[in-house]
Amino acid sequence: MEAVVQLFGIERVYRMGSVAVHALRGVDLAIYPGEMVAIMGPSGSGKSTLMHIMGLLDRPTAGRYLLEGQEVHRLGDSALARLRNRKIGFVFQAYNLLPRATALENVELPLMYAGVVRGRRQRAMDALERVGLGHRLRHRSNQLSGGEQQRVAIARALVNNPSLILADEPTGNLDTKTSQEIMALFRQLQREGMTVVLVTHEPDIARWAERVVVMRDGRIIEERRDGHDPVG
Amino acid sequence: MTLWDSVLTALRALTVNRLRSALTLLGIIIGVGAVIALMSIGRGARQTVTEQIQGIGSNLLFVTPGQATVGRVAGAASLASLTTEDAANLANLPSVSAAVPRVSFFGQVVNGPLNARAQIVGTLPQYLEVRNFQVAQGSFIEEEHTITGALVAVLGANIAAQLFPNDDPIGKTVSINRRPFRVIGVLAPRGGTGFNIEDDTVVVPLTTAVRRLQVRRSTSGGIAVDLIYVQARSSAVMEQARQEVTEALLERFQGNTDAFTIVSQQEVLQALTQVTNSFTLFLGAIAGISLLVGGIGIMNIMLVSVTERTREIGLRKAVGARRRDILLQFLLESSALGLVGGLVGTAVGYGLARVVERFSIGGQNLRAYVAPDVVLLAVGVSLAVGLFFGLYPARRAAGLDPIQALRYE
Repeated sequence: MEAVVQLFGIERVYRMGSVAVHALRGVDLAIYPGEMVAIMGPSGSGKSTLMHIMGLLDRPTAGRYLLEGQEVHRLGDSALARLRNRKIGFVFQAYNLLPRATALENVELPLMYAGVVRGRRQRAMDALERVGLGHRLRHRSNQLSGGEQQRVAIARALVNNPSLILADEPTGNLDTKTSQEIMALFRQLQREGMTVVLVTHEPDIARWAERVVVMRDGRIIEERRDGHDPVG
Repeated sequence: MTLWDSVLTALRALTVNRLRSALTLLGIIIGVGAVIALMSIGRGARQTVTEQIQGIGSNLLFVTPGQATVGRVAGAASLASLTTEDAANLANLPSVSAAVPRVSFFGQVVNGPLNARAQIVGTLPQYLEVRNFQVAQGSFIEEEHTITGALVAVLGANIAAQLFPNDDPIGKTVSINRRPFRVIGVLAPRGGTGFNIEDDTVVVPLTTAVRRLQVRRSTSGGIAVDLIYVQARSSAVMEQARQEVTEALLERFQGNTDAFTIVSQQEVLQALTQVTNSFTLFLGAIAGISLLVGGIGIMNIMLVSVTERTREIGLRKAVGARRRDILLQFLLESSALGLVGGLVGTAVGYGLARVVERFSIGGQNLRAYVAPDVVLLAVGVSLAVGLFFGLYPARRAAGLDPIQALRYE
């Protein structure tokens, strides 16, 4: 089976004045369709940088990145924007919804940038239905609870049928119970065939993934496939 | 992203901060309103001047005696170079239908306790037709009056109203420079507005003016006059008439081109139009400064908006917005401010122009003409101002790094 993400010797060096900071020092990683992978590590380990590169928000200094078999590390800005739009769905710790827009409008946003006009509303409604928010379509995001806002963000991430959902500390702002609900939602999406990559530093959250990648100092130091489902 | 979606997104962003958008708009509204109001006053002045010059008569040449100069001092004797005889000769030229001489000076016109300062015009009966005047009451001066030098006067509309507020002036006696004149007629007002004194004149026979009111001698016989109105047979032969008049006068003055000056109505009009155009431009430029300030207001608010919405911009980029999508969105916001400001400003400017028309300066009503090209210009400029001052903030937004933008607090 072809991997969704294939990383070969990815390096990322930031220049802070005259000092070079090595955020990633050669990362090799493959993520296959339908997988749920948690990337763990202390802050400064490079896990966020890795996620930004996988999400095409950042470019590696060295190395190759194949997204569904396509070389993407040398594409231009517009091509990357297009790939982000079609192939990647982001879920952030702070939800990043447009505060005055309704749940529907927020979910429509990626479709808008995809140039979809016909059936846009329906697709956004379906996505919200899928995350269990069919009854909250017209609520503005600042009228929703944290858990509901994150569900809207997840609906937004999956509305364009991406190849990959990237979630950066998706439960970081939520209480334990809501966190469990959100993780159960990710598991459900995974069962439906979605590929999910989580970045987290909480073992409780990482446990939901079947595969855990641990990073330190810009390298992968451990990979386990021992994740088990605490609910089922 | 479709253009329609971009427009809707931009308009929504503007309605989120209503007060702020309204205040920014106000800057543009004031600027455009001022441009339109002031330029309309300039255009109104041009229209007034044009009508006034055209109202003097049609197809006219103004022939005046030249002021020959000695050193840089005007020679007094040379002032009176044109005479009634010259006028009579010019009237016989083939392209000329009439040539009417005129002398004029200011004088005091008195009726009992009432008095008025008037321009006294001494001329011939043809003056009425050449100058396009109408007689409202009584009659105009006649051939007989000029032959005898009769003490008769025709009053301009304003003078008649001032000296005879309640009664009929016809047949009454007024004194002009302490000599009694019988009023035989009243001219119809020129009407309209402007800076003219046409309704403040008193017309008397030429001979009377010269013999009884003012003494002037010619250098070469006849009565010296200070202006001859030459009317061409049609507008088509204006140039020809001018040529004939020039030749005739050159012959008469033995080739001395300084002895007379010929100015056509068209030239007077052009000169005055140039003046009023400069005036309009000057007013527009002053008002343009406030439009510029309005534009800076747009830039200011757009910069604030970009900073405030940094995270939103990062999110939009993360879900697939390209640089140009972001650029377009912010440019649409700023140009919408410019355009709406321009349209509302036009309405305000129109209103101001109407208000200005209620005022008068020196008894003359101000006139404002809201010209379509001025409106187009003002709206176009305000749209351009929105685009121009929106460009820098929009580029800044489009160039934001999505990772930094998403982390921005």
